[in-house]
Amino acid sequence: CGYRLQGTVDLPDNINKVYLQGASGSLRDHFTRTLRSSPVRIVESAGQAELVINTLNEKLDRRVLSLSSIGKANEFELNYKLEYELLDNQGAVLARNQSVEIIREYYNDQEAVIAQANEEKVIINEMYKQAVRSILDLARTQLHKY
Amino acid sequence: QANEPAWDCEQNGSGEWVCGADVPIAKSPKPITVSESADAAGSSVVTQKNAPSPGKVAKNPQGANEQNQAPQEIIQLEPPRKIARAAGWDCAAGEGDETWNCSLTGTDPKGKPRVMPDERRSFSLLSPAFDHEQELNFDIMHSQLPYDPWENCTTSLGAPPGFLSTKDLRDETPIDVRADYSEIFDNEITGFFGNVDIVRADQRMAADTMHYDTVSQTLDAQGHVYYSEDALSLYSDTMMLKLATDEARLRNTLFISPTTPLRGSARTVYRDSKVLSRYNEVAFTSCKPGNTDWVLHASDLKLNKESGEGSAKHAWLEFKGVPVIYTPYISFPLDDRRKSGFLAPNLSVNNRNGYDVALPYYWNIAPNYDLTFRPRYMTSRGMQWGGDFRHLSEMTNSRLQFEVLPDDQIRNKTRYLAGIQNTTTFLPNLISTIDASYVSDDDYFDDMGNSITINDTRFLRSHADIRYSMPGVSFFSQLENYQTTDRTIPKEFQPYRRLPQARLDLNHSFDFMPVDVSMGSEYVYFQQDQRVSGQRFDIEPAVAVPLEAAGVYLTPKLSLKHTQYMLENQEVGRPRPDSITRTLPIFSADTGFTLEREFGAGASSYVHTIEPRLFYLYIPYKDQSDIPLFDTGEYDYNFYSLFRENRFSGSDRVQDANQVTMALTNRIIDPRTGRENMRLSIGEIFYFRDRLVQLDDPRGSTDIFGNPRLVNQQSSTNSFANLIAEFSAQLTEHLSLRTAGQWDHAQNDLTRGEVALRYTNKPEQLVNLGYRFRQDLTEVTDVSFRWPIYDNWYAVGRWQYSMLFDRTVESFAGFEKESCCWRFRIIGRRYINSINVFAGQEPTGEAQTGVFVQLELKGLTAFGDRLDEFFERNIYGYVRPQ
Repeated sequence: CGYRLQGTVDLPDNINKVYLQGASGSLRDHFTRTLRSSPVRIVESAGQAELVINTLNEKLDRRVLSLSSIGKANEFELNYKLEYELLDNQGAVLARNQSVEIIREYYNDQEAVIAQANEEKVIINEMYKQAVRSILDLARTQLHKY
Repeated sequence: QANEPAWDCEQNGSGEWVCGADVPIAKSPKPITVSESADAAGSSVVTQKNAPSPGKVAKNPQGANEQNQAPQEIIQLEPPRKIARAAGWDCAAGEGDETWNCSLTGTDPKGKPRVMPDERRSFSLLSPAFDHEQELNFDIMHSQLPYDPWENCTTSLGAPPGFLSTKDLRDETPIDVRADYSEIFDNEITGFFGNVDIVRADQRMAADTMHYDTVSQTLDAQGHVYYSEDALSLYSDTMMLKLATDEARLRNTLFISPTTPLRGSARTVYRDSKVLSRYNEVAFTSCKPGNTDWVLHASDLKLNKESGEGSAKHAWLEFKGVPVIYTPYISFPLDDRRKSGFLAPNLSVNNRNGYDVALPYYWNIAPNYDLTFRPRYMTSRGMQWGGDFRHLSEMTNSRLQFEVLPDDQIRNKTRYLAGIQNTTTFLPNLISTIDASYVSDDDYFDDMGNSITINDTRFLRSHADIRYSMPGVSFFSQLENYQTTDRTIPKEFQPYRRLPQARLDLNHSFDFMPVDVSMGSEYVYFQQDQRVSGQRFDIEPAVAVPLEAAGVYLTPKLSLKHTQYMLENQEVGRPRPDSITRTLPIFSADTGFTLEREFGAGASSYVHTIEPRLFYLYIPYKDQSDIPLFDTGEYDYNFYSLFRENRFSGSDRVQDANQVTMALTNRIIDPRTGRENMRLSIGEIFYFRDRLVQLDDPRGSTDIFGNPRLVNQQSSTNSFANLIAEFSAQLTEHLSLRTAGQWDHAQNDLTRGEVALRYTNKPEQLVNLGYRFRQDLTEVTDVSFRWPIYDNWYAVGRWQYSMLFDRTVESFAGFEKESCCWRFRIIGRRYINSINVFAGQEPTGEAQTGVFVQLELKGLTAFGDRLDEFFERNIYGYVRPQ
């Protein structure tokens, strides 16, 4: 019916080395982890890379979504946002002004504060993972044009 | 200059004549002489001001037509209603025939320009900081700049992108001099006379006359001296420059510094050397020419670029024509270098503290440490002393913080806060952090906190940790304590101290086969005086086999979780064994695939993906009811928690499971941008057995207000979990919709739902509408917005109403004004800030109201409450202007 399986290797075949510029440690970790089972590797400098992902304005925020009857927060929204552009190793821009925004929310009565911290950590990890997927998805669609 | 065309004049809003020259007439008027000494010609001279044509020195009004020039010759003008009211010429259009009727009031100004009354200005105590002539000159200087610094009406740093400076070409570009004529005396002094214009690369200088002495290397320019370069534009009556020593002296000067941008005037400028300059009678603003909404005046100003210090005497600020602040002396930093001095004062009024004034003083003790001292006086409570000490070294970054209110007049006791923060980087991957704070009482933040920041915390965390990481290995250890700052939390339910916690995580992937191995281990000593305490050791080795082929993946994973407890401080009436061991295997298999298809054609083609996912989980049952809850709660149940191996957030509970999660995600992607236009996810867990492991929360199932806690969210005997559906769509470029819902099969009812509609047309139009509902826990409507009203005034506000509690939990409304050189924000806010606890009664939240104001003078400073930050937190999509 016209549907086909999508390639799991998210980048075109000729791209095996990716350099992350300006990314936070956590984002870098999740990139490495996600790409572990693909032939793509994260390299240490832009010179060695076939694709440079230049991240800008990476920001992780927590907002209060709703308050309890006594004015204390009990629903939270986590917002992870970053802007990035894709460059080749010569610095030529392949895709500019891209952005990813991941929003997640959760309920917590905040009295069990350690459990809340645990939960938040789990959610933040999932958000990073989702952000990496979406950057790679986009890189795939953008790079197939070339 | 004005050759053939006639004058086409009209009166602008400020009562000035703006004349263009575009209608040619048969009989041309004589060229306008630009001369200060021109006679006022006869009694029928037209007093009319001349708009400057860019680049031309045309500062005089055209009050100087020669005598033989009949007024009739320049009559193709719109007759004005009135021109002057003050002393001088008052002209009106004659009746019927097209002549001027002019009469002289008082002494003849002889063509000298003066300020016209501004009919727009409704109220002003002060006359404008820059007179009409100066404003005209600013216009000329403005037009000569290579780019418009006020184009975006923002204070930017540096030239706009795309602007190429020719500054670097100065040394290699020849000097181009034009003048009506020149003379050389004794081969030493060169004089240029009449319309002198010197250009070199980006530098340009124009004057009536100029003398250059090659022996003393001095340049002397007289009359309408303009000087401009990329980062500066100057006008002055006279300018004397000693090129060898970089000394200069300018009189009656105007300047524009386009990079900030700032513009201003000074009676005299002495430049003593490359780094030192002095100014007399200075006034400057960041407002664009023609606007003086705020102006900073000073009688004397000194700038020292070497030390990065500036100082001013008799400085005062006017805002909208009203003097606001005066100081006999002020010193300020010129660049990023830190400098001792007072910081902007803070003033607020509220019903808790009365008038609340803080005047921080910054003491730059040494390059690597400093102290900010914050005396604060609250009329209801008394004097508070506070401060911040910061220290920096190659490896460490520390901060000490203190606040003491020796005698709180309301509570009659001493109240204080103390804090220490430290980060030490031993190696790039070995970092330690200390962050410890203590406050004297539970209400400290409610009482002393800046009331614009929401105090939503109930605990003050203090911890000291060390972390080490390298590929495959990560180690983390900490000491942690929580101070409760919420009176409604009883002592026995305060969080456990972790003294200490240590975690070691190892993982490895093999290159030659698809196998990931990992091992997590953790040791924690949980301590609490009122409750059972103990040590917990947890180790979890795991093997995963990630199998992947194009579009399909399957990841089986097996882990073994072994946990050991050694308990102490047993609770009376709740006997537990002193030692508990729990070992459980966990098996999961995660599989899914992605199908995609393009639909539509050409420019409107989209990619549709279908992503089914199956997640199987098996964990045998073990009775864990003897294990205390140290750090464990239940995860909030949502689409993402369907794929977790545990529904509990800590190690104290491992769920029993024989279940499969089925989920389906549909997405529509725009292949041109890669953006997701629509996403629909549905998920459901099918249980093959009842859930026996439960969270028996010792705190009970409701809090002291009777609100249910988020425990045991679902029935433990159902064969289906709640059905989860999430839908989000980018409806248009600016409008997005997010909805989510949960259906409980046992209750046959919707137990959770939310709708959020967000309109974001950045930066000025934002509207967010939201409704959130959780059975027995919350039901709120939430509206927030920022919307333009008129003339760069914006309405801002938020209203959050709890339908469950029948009350408004947070609301504010106000206005924000964005002008080219200032911003103003004002809101009224009603919020719940403190809790009343009376014996024998249910505690209640107490609502407070307050008015908050912020004034930001672009390029100078900001006064008042940090409303920009507040809006950013409260209005989704609001971005604080930089």
